[in-house]
Amino acid sequence: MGDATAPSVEDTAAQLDLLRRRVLNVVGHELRTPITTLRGLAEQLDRRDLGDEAAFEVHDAIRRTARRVEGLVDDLLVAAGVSTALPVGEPVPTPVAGAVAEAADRATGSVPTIEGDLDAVVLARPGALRRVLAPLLANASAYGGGAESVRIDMVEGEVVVAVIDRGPGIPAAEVGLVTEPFFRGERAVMTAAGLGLGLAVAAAIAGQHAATVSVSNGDGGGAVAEVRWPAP
Amino acid sequence: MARPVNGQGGATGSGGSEGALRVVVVDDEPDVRLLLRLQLPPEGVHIVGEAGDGATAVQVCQATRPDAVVLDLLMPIMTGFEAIPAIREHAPDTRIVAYTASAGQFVRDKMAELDVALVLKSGDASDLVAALRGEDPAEQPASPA
Repeated sequence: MGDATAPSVEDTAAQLDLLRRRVLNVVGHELRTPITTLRGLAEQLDRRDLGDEAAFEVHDAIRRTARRVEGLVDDLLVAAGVSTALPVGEPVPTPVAGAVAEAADRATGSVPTIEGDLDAVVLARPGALRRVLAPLLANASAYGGGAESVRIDMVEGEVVVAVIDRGPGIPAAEVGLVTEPFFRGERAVMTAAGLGLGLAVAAAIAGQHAATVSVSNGDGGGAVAEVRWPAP
Repeated sequence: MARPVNGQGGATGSGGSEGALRVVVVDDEPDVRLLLRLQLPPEGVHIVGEAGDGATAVQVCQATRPDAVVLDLLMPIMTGFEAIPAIREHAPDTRIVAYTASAGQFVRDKMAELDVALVLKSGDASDLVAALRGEDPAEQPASPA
């Protein structure tokens, strides 16, 4: 006798098919914007009347957009558990405040107030801490009205980096889901493009260093995204 | 609120000429706006304003009363979906063209319901220009599987 509560093979296949289509839809949408932009920008370079200043602007936009595609592909591979896209090299002492500033600048174009232990250092593979922090800061910018502050503290043998935003916080039902690959909150789907991989990738890279990523709602409203990294 | 051409939003003056179609460009991706600033003026389009979110788009359309607006749908602060009725309220003669990377059935149905032309983003702006001129309804791409 089979388990009456177990889903049938047909139900499972239908769910997998739905999931496959959702993932392909999201990935297609996210890749299509930068790829069509790249094509259009490249074609502008053929224009004889394009001045030097505009050509410089186009070259810059092409570099930026290509980096974005590269990042999307890396995120997809990491989220799919493909270890080849994880940071490589031996962990090296990495200043935390510097990584926060670099991640914020790359992700949002500005650097929020950084408070607390500004001299904190962790052991991380080159670029790893920045890649963990960037999606937290990008989310604060896209959904939380920007990072109000980033706080660095040493707590019980861990360096804790908290990104506190100015937004409405995360609906209670979504708090536990936000680090799941391809999960996007109800409002997030409408207000910003995205794969829903940022926090999942951050968690995967953090896990490579025995660190963790979590998101909760702060006491004063707004979301708090926290990275806990073992102190060296 | 007037900001320079490269800003997040405001009145701009790219490609101005007599008889040109006056258009506002709305997209939260600065590089998409840059591309449209380069693609549209040679097609006889004068970009009179830009915005990076729906709320600013409403203000810019109210201030500039353009002939048409290129409107991205997924944007922070106020989405394109939310901006459409507000733009119609403040700039009722402005033709709205939804410009998006891909469109599932929900988006297709919603744009049809709102009577808004839908154009998929492309490296080639010819479909977009046609839709902005209202000369030819934007081709509705095949429904997704």
